[in-house]
Order: sequence, then structure tokens, then C-alpha cells
Amino acid sequence: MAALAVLGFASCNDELAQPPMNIPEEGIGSGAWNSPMSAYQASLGAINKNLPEAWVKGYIVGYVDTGIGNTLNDNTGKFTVPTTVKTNILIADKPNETDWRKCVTVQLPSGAVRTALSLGDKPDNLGKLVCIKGTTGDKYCGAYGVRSVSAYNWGDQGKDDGSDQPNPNPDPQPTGVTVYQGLLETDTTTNWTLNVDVTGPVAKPWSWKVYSNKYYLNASAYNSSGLSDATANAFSPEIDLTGYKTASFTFDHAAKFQTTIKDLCYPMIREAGAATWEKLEVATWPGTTGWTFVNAGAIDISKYAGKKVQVGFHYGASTAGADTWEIKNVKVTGTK
Amino acid sequence: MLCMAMPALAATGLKGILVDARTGKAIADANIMLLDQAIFVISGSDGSFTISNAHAGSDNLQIIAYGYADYNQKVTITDGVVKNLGDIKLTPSAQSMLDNYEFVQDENEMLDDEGNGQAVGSIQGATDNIYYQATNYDFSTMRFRYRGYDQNWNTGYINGFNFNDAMRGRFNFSGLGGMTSTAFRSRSTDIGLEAASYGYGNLGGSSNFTTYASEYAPGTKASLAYTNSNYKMRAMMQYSTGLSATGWAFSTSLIGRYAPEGVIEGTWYNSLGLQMSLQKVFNDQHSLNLTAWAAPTQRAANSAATQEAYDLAGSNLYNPAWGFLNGEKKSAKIVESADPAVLLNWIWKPQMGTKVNTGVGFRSNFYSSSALNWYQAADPRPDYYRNLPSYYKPTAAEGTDLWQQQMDAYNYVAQWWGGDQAHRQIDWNSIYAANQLNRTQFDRNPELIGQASYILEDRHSNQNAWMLNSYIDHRINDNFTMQGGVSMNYTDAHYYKTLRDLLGAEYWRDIDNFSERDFAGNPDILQNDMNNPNRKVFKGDVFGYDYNIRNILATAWLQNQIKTSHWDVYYGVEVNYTTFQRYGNMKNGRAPENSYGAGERHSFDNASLKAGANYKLNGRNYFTAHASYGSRAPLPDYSYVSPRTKDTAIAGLSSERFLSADLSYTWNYPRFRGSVSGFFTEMWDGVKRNGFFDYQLNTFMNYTMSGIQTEYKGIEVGMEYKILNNLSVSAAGTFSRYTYENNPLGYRSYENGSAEDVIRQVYIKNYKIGGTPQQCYSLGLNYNVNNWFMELNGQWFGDNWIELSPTRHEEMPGLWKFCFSEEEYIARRNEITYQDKLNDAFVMNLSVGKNIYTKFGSVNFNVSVNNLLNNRNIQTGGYQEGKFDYTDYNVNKFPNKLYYAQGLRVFVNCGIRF
Repeated sequence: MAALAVLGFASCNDELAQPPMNIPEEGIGSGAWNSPMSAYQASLGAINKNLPEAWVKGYIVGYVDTGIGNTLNDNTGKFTVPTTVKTNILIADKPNETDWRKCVTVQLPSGAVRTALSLGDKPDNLGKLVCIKGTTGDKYCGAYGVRSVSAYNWGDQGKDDGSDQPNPNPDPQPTGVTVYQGLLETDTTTNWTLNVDVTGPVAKPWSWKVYSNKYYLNASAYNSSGLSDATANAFSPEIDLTGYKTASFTFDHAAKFQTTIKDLCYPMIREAGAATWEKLEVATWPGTTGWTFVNAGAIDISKYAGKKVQVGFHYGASTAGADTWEIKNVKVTGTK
Repeated sequence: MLCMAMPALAATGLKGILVDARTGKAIADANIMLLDQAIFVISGSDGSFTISNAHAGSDNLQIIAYGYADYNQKVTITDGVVKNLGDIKLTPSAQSMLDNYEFVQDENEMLDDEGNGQAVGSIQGATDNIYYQATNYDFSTMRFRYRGYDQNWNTGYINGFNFNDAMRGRFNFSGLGGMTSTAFRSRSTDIGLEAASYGYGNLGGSSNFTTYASEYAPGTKASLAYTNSNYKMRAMMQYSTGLSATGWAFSTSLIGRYAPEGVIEGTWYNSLGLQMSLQKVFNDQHSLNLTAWAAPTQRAANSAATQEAYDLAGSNLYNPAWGFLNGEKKSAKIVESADPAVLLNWIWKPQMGTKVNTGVGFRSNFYSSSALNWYQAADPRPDYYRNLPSYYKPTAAEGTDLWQQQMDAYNYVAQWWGGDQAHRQIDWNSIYAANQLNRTQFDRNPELIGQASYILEDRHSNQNAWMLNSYIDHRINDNFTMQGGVSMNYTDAHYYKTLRDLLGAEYWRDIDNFSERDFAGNPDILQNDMNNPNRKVFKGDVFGYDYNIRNILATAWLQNQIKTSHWDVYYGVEVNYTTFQRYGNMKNGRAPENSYGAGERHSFDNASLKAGANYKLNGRNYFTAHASYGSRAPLPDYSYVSPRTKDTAIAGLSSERFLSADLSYTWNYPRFRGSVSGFFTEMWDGVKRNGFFDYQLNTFMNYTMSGIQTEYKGIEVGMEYKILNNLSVSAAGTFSRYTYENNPLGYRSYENGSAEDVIRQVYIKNYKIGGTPQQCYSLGLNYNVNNWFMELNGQWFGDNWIELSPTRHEEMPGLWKFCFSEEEYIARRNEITYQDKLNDAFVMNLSVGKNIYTKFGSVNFNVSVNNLLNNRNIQTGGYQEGKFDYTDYNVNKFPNKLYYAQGLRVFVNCGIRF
């Protein structure tokens, strides 16, 4: 050990260097009403997949003179009023910005938004801080911009109009790489182990089914003789999380008629081959109005990172109810 | 006074010269012990030893030399007499009869030019260092680099000439043509910072190959071998006269290696080697030796691929570098090399214990590697990233119709590429068809009719070097020797491209096709040679780039070795002067003022010091320490930011500095011997250059990192225990850390001139140096009986990191496009900067050999089996691609390129000697 210490193996600072983040001056926002994106983010073309319509904040600094050209450049970028242009404005992180390269184009659809924001209508808006709601990531007048503007709010925050709901089809992969995908709706068969620890009158509650050319895992202990207590497990092959520091588990599911599902059914995880399962909590349950799949949300399984695991689902029914639970698109992601 | 005192201390003891019983060659560095009196000495470079401080009486003389059977003799020592025992012949031991060395050697030659350096160190040969022996034979499967150093920190000498090339600083093993068990068999090796008698050496150590005709054992040997590797058949012959009564000696070796197809599909191999040595011994003092050799080799090589490609192809030996043409396999990567050399040495022994070796030498290196090039046409490489399914990986939200369409496309490509071998190899027929179409098609500019869309080009790097060398090994007395030398090397390196094959077209136009996309309106900037604008190029013509780098290196060194009964001490110094200059033979349109004619001259003077001490507690236990500090000139090959286009050197070009020290304990008992060492080395101001095609800017990108600080530290253990006289077990291993120690500067130079060169900081501090395992362990068993020899060993390798690409370690402002919180940014960034590790690997090897001696000569037969367990998942090397996806920051877009070892490999050899 002494020799090791001499050689510096016990070096106290061996942290890996990382390139600096250089957080933009105006900060970073998610695009939610209370955390709008900065003009800088919008100018990079940022799209937050979880928020199809994002709030972007910035100072109104000018407009693209569409009488000269439709592409933002030295000639078309204008930073003074008065003007007759009402179809667009430029916003930027700084109130007195006159470099068009640092501006975001904002498309103003005709109506209340245009009347309230355009410099053609309201020359006094020049230099004012505003939050604008629209789609980002598309180019408008040759530069990344905010299009289909639907709302605005003066100041550095948007308005809570209740629409900051998660994307109905959000990317279920928070960070990291995909370590495992299973139960894909394109899989004609599955290599999952179904119907283990089965109790109750139905021999095989779990089955791999297809509907409209899309496959899914289906569980039901409903049978014609009536309701009774029942359980059954289904689980994945071994998933190797060796070398990962964090891990996350997600899937899509649907359940139309719900009685006991939230109490008796749950996803679960264990170290590969272990005897017992750990019950996991579902963040998002499907709606009850139809067989519409929703993403269950990301379940943090980082405490299993570095190990080999199996994920699975426990189905339960009782005399109070035997719901049908449909599951597909299981995904485990991890970061190193 | 001193003279008068001398007779009073009448020397009492023994002297003699240790020679190889087979070849008659001197055996240096053997341990010689008088067991009863516990007197211990080491033989000199000429094999001689003297014990002059013994007491009279009878004693047991024991001699232990690595690679030889132990020697024991009862001796009687007379007072006042140093008895001359004459030549003591030592018999080569079983282990060295197996000749694993050449097996390993041959296999790894093919890796020479793959950008990651050859797998074998230049310092090879028998030593008594068990750890080092293991690194040479057993660890080389995994491209093990001694102490993690680049090959240019080892020096290979031939007859005293420093044979490391002046441009890349490396010893080129393939230049020996595989004649390592015949013409180049004789070599002495000095590991790490040990003192050598033929030169100053290097941080990682040095070897001196000698080819003096009188030293080859007289007679003929011949052998025939089969292996299932890069070549299949090998035939070898050597004839040596030995020294005749008239003072003449002659030796010649011939070798041929051949494979119509190697173990990797689409590769083949043709190599021929010839060596001749002629020596005239005029008298006891003077002899002249002339040696010449050449080994022209032509082979089809393989290229690394990504894991995706290997998986789809169903084999880790998938080779994208070939394709079918009219049913025949045709390779796009043909490597041709020849390294002829002529050396003349005058060996002068003015007195006993003094040798002066003076020589003049000339060597050439011809090297070319072919590759496809194309103009306004699709990238023809089958593993080009857009041809692989991963390029079609769905980007839409999962479950949407678009996602489904993308998934269908992905599956289709995967099926197309993986399902039919022809689809994952070069499509030569389409290439010829495209060129053919250009000859008949008139709808384009009529001036362009017949112009090639695709060609095969040869990229040459040739060198001519003239060398002068003189060194002296002078014994002042029993305890004190001195070595020193001077040398001079002038190297003219020539880099250029020629057109190898028009592939059915009429001509190629010498412009930079990648510049054309960016500067369509500027006719000058496209020109590779403004002195010959828009030139039509035909087969064999030079085009593209053409420049020389001329280098002069002058060196002087001096060393003293002092040996006493308990202490061996040495110290040495080397000073050198380097100067080099680029000469452009073309006026490049991207750098019209900075490419043609003589460029700026770069000169450096450097020095280094080294010293070592060996404390012999007794004849069985000793402690050794070495240290060295110095600097060396930057290597010309790494000194220019874009040498093909311009003369610009990297900013702040300066000499590299290094500090290195090690400490060892060695024990040497008749049954149990071994050593434990720790080492620490720091290097400053290193330079690394690589190039890649930047697909976003459509240009070849030269990327140079400079001012790199690296650190190498670790522990090495090697030991051998004799269970029985003919059965021994040996173990060796290292636990090391080779790391980057600072955040150097990265210099980007765009070969198409589409942007100014840029310098950015590269954040790599504490990342690992890739390309060699940092943990290796080996356990071996050796057995011999009745001239049967057997060796079984197993090795485990770990901590083998992928070679990192600096482009993944620069600031990434554009990443904010995808991240909406600091946490997201950090997670994404850390994924990009992550350095993968190659798989840990376990390899088992077995060698069996038999020697049969008859009165007419001897026959030997041996079989070596490498990777006995036929493990096909051994990753021998890998690197991150230089190109990076700056659009989406998708770390998976350009995955790591990997090399795999083949499975079971056999080497069967049968030889005769008479």
C-alpha cells in the first residue's frame, strides 16, 4: 500500500475534466409558462419535446422588413420604428440588440396577438420584455423562430393557461442510452416469461396478443364463472445494467374498465434470478375512456444500475374486480 | 606509487568468456557466482567476466543466463592467479527453443499502419527479466505497450545504427521481412532505463540487432511453416559459412511468406525477404562487415469497423475493404512496402576490452497504401455510416405513423445490408459501370467526358536515410567501463499520391473535390497544384499532394559504468541537434503563398541525462533504481497542422520533455527468481495528430493536439519457480495507470480551406490513454523432457480503454439546443465525453516442440496454438471516430471502431539444421 501511495494511485483529484457548460447569460428555461426559454435557446432551434408549444421570453428589438426580403440578414433586419410591418417581430435577450444573428424571428398570425405585439401597430413595444407562446425549432425568415404564436404575456413569465400538460406522447427516454427494449408492438412473438406464480381459476392470465397489426401484452383473469382472487407474473429476460450509473424503466399501457387495477397491478423489478420482486410505482395510469395507450412515465431504477436485472409486471384480481391490463414498448435506459 | 602497490594485491580468481554453444555469440549480462565465497559478477557485452578478489581454494562456479540452461562447475582457485577458463559454452534452454517470438512477431506486423501503431515493441529479445519476457510473448495479443509508452519511446538499433525512422520515431519491424529467427536473430536488449553498451537507449528501452557474418553458426537451416493467420505458408532458409581460415565469413537468409487469402476475408499476402552479410576479419584488431537486405511485401489489408457492422455481418472479422468483381475478390486496401538497407561496419579492437564500431549506412523505406477516391459520386465504402441501418434509426416519437415508416426503413436496410454479403462489400461492378457511363454520356459538360467518378489511389510515404555512426565500448579496468558515440542521420521523406487504377475511366482531374462544393466560383482554390491547373491525371501520375520533409539529426552520447562488489552504478548523457524543413512540390490552391518550395526551418537542440544504481545485498538479492530527465525534438510527422496542403507548423512547436524513474527488487535463488518494480513517468509538451473526414464541412480535417501532458505509473511483477529441474511455473503482471494530465490545445485545419484554422481547448485531464491494456496478468507452465518442450500459459487483460477523440472533449455550446436544464446538459455532455473500455479478455496459449539430434544435423518441430479457447470476442483495439455529429449531438451516430482478434490460431513449423 505504501508503494501504491508513493506512486500516486491514491491521488486525491482524479476527476475527469469536462468541457465547461457556459450557461447562457439569460439562463435556461424549459419552455413552461413559469420557465420560458431564452431567446438564445430559441435561436439555436431548441424544441422541448415535452412541450409542443413553448413559452419564449425576449425583448422586442425589431422586425424583418418583408418589403425588402423574406430572409433575415443585414438588409432586412430592422431595429427602429416606425414601420408598417405587422407580420413579424424580432426578439432578443438584450433590449438594445441590433445584431440580427442574435435575434429570434416571431411569426405573428393575424388577430389579437398581432395587434398587441406588432411594431406596425404598437411602435412603443420596441424594447419591451415579452413572453410568447408558440412552436420552436422551425426556421422562419431564414432564422430559427417562434411560429404559430397563440398567446403572449408582458414580462419575463408566461401565463398558466393549464396547457402545460405533458406531451401526450412524450419521449419516455429522459437521458441515457437504450439498454433494453421489449414487448414492441412490432414483435410477432415475445421472449418474456409469462404466467409465473399463477393463482386463481384462469391458467394463463398473461398472453401476447395482436390488435390491428399491433402486438401487446395482455393480462386478464376475468372468466365467465365470475370474479375471484387471482395473481400472475410476467417478466423480461435478463437486462444487463453493468457499467451504468443510473437507469430508468418505462412502458406504455392501457386499461379501459378500471376497478382494482391501481391497487392490485404493478410493475416490478428484481436482480436477475432473485426470488423476490420489488414493487414499483406507476406515475401515469391510462385513462378509463378507451383502449388508448399512455406512457407510464419514467421509473427510476438507478439503485439497480450496475447489476443484471429483470423487469416485470404483476397482475392481480379480486372478487371486487378483474381488470384487463395491456402493456407494450418496454424500455430500459441508462447513463454511464 | 600506485604501480608499486599493485603487485602486493596479487589478483586471485577466475576469468572467462561466455558464449552461446550453438552460435558462438557472446552472452552478456549473465550472473556469475562463486557460491561458497558469495562473490557475484555480471558478464560484459563481449561475454567476458573477471573475478579477481577471490580466496584460494575450491568452490562452485554457477552461471545463470536468461535463455540458457544453468551452468555449474567445480573450480580450484590458486592464490595470486586469475585462472583463465577460456570460452564457457552455455546451452540454450528449452523455452527459447520454442521460438514463440517469431510467431508473435509475424502476426502483429500487419497492424503496423493502422494508425494505432504496431503491436510489438521494438525492444525484443531474450532478457532475464521475466516480466518483460511476458510482455513480449504473452501480452502482445492485446497490443500491449511497455509501460504504456508510444513505440517511439523505444529504440531499435541494427549493428549500432539507430533504426527508428526520423519522421515518426518508430522502429519498423516489418522492414526485417520476418527474418527474425534467421538473419536478425542475434540481438541484445536493454529494458527501460538500463544502460546499453551500443547506444544511449530510450525511456522504454532498446535492442541492438547484429548481423555480423562471423557470428552466425556455420551451416544451413531451413524451415517450413503453416499458420492460419494473415499469411498461410512460410518458407525460410539460412546458409552461413562461419569464419574461414582466410578470415572471410558469409551468411545469407531467404524468406517467403504467402497467403492466397488470409484468415480475414478479402486479405492476401505476398512477401519475399533476402539478407546477406559478408565479413572480412583482417586480424585480431580489424574487421569489416557489409550487410544488405530487402523485403518487398505486397498485401491486401483489412479495415476496422463498428460493432453494428460486425453484428450484422455475423463476424468480428468482417472486413469492409474488399468487394466482388466478376466473381473475384478485389481489395481496395493494398499495402506495398520494401525497406532495403545497406550497412558497412568497421570493427576495431585496439586492445583487450576495447571495441570501436564505426559504420556508414543507407536505408530506404517505400510504403504505399491504396484507397478509393471519388468525385461527384456516392461514397463507395460499404460501411459508410449512411449505408448502415443505424443511419435510419427512427427519430419520430415512438408509435406514430412516421416512426413506423422509419422503423420499416431501418429494418429494410438491416435486412439488405446484413442479409447478403455482396451488399456489405465494395460494389466494384457499379463503380466500373459509373466510370464507363462517363465515357459515353454526353449530357454533362463535354469536356468532362471520360473523367473518373471513382479511382483507386496509392498514398505513398517514402524515406531515404543516410547514416553515419561510431561508438566505443571501452573497459578501463575490472570495475570501470565507458561507452560513447556519435551519429548523424539525414532523412529525406517524400509524401505523395499516385493514381493506381482508373477503374475503367479515362482520366482523373487533379482538383480538390471537397473544395469544389464550397467554392464553386473560385477556380484557384480547387487546385491541388496551381502550377498545373485542372491537370488530367493518368495511371501512375503523381497528384493530390506532393511534398518532402528533410531532417538532420546529429547525436553524441557518453556513459560510464562502475561495477564493484556491492554496487553497480552508471550515468550517461546524450545531446542532439535536430533540424527539419518542408519542401512543397505543388502550389496548393488553398495555401498558394505557403505551400510551394522550401518552408520554414525548425531546429531544436536537446539533451537528456540518465543514471542508475544497483545495490547487491548479496549474490541473491539486489535493489535497482533508475532515473532519467531530458527532452527531445518534436517528430516532423506530427509538427505540421496540414502538411499535405501547407507549411504551417503547430502553434508553439517545441521539444517534448520527460521525467522517468523506477525502483526494483530482484531475487535470484536457484529455484525461485523474480523481481518487483514500480515506475513513474511524466511527459510534457507531447503532440498527437490525426485526421478524419468531417462530413458536415465536407472536408478532410487535420486535428493536432499539442502541449499534451501524460503520466504513466504502475507496478510490474515477474517471477519463476522451478518445481522440478524440468518443470517451472512463471507468473507476471502489471497494474498500471496511463493518463492525460492536462487540457491541451486542439488545432483544426480544414484541408479544403472552407474555414480558417481554429484552436480550441480539449478537456481530457484524467482520461485514460487508450490502445493498450493497463492491467495484464499471466501464468505459465514450462516443461521439458527428452528434447520435448511444452509451454502452457493463460493471460487476463483489463482496463483497456478506447482511444479517445479530442472532438468529443471540446466546449459544446450547441448542446443547449437539446437541453432544458443544467442536469439535462450534464447528463448529455457526460454521455458524449464518456470513454468506453474494451472487453476484459482471457487468452490461453499452448506450445509444444521437439528437437531431434542426429549425427548429420538436427530436426526441430513445433506447434503453437494461440487463443486455445477460440474466443472470438477479444477486442484488441478500438478508437472513437474523429468526426462528430454537431447537428444532433447524437453520440451514437459515429460509434467506436473496433478491432477483434481472430479465434484459434495455430502455427506449425518444421525445421532442419545441418
